[in-house]
Amino acid sequence: MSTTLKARRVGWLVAMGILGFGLAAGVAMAGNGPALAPGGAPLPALPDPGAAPAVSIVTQSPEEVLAYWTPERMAEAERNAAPTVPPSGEGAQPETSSTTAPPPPEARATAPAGPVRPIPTVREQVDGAKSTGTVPSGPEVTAPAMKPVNNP
Amino acid sequence: MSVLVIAVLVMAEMTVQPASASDEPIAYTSYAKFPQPGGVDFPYFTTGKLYVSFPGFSNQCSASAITSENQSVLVTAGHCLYDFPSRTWGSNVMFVPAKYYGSEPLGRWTIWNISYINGFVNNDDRDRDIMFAVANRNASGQTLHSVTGAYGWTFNRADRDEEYHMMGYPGGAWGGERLMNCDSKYGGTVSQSAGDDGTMVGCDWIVGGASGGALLKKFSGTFAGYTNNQVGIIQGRLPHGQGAAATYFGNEALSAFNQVRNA
Repeated sequence: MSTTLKARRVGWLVAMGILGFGLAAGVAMAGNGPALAPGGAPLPALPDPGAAPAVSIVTQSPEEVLAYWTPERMAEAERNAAPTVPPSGEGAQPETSSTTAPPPPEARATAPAGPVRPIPTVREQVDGAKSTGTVPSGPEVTAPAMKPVNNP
Repeated sequence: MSVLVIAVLVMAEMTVQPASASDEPIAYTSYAKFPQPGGVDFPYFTTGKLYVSFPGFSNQCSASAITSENQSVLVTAGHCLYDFPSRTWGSNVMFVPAKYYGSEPLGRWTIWNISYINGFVNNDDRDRDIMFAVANRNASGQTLHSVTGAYGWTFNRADRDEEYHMMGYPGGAWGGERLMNCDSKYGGTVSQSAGDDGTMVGCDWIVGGASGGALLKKFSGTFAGYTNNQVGIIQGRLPHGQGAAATYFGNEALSAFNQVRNA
């Protein structure tokens, strides 16, 4: 066998090897490639910055958890979250925008280090707001009645 | 075939690019679009109430679904799931998205996995007061995000002169029965402990129950572009009516998120 022929065979084998590797790599990438969000856009693969997070596994069964939360226990949890203190007057509750803030029952955070430029505009959730393709603007309140959503 | 696969991947990768140069500044460490929510009203149904019990007491916070490969990640404040004074983890964790008075249109969800930042659990570091959790599928086999949709996210981004939005369920005088949205411009930074500064926002209704709610940028009811990016969580309120403190997503939060996004 001539040297040229041997070289051609080697070259052909190398080419097949590259193609095979490419095929295998392609299949592997297809199986482990970037996940696609339901909208079709892949989520960016992020480098791990090297912090040291940890994971805690929950051992309770869903049935056990769901059975635990009776209406009474849920109400208690809500009461514990924030005692009911009217902001001013009796039983005031915000129903519109531009409401004043209730007095702070608790301050978890420490004092700010920087200047404060609060420009608060409180408004309630716009319940049942539709995705009309327009960006909400301004503090105006539109609070229609709750539109029930069927759990798909 | 490999060429075809690679071509498909390249095309898919291209779709993540912003539509215009101004749409997504390069300074963003990372970002993600939210998925199409599939028929539910977005983004208002993405945040919900989080119920947790501890030995001797129980608590309620807010939490939100954020985009992840497993379509099951939700994020809240660390102090909602871990009581540092007693060094105790919460149990019976239940997420009720879009809760509205007695209505629970999107059901109740449990979790099976929690990712946290050591700095909070070990040192009560409130600048690391963030935890991610993975929701179990519901009884119908659905993932959380397939029902609620999910916010996009951005890490390492707390800008001045931009408007923020906080979404949560403030209790107390605010009732805690419905989701509230506060719009406010950046109010500066607040260092609550060593490490990254928190972000201060002039939302003055933040009281118990809103903790763990979403700090959003580019809030919008649309599905187009990089809107509704969650950049942090509601952590607490500042004294003297100075607004709310948020813990924003930094590198350690990103690392914690990476632990569960595929779980």
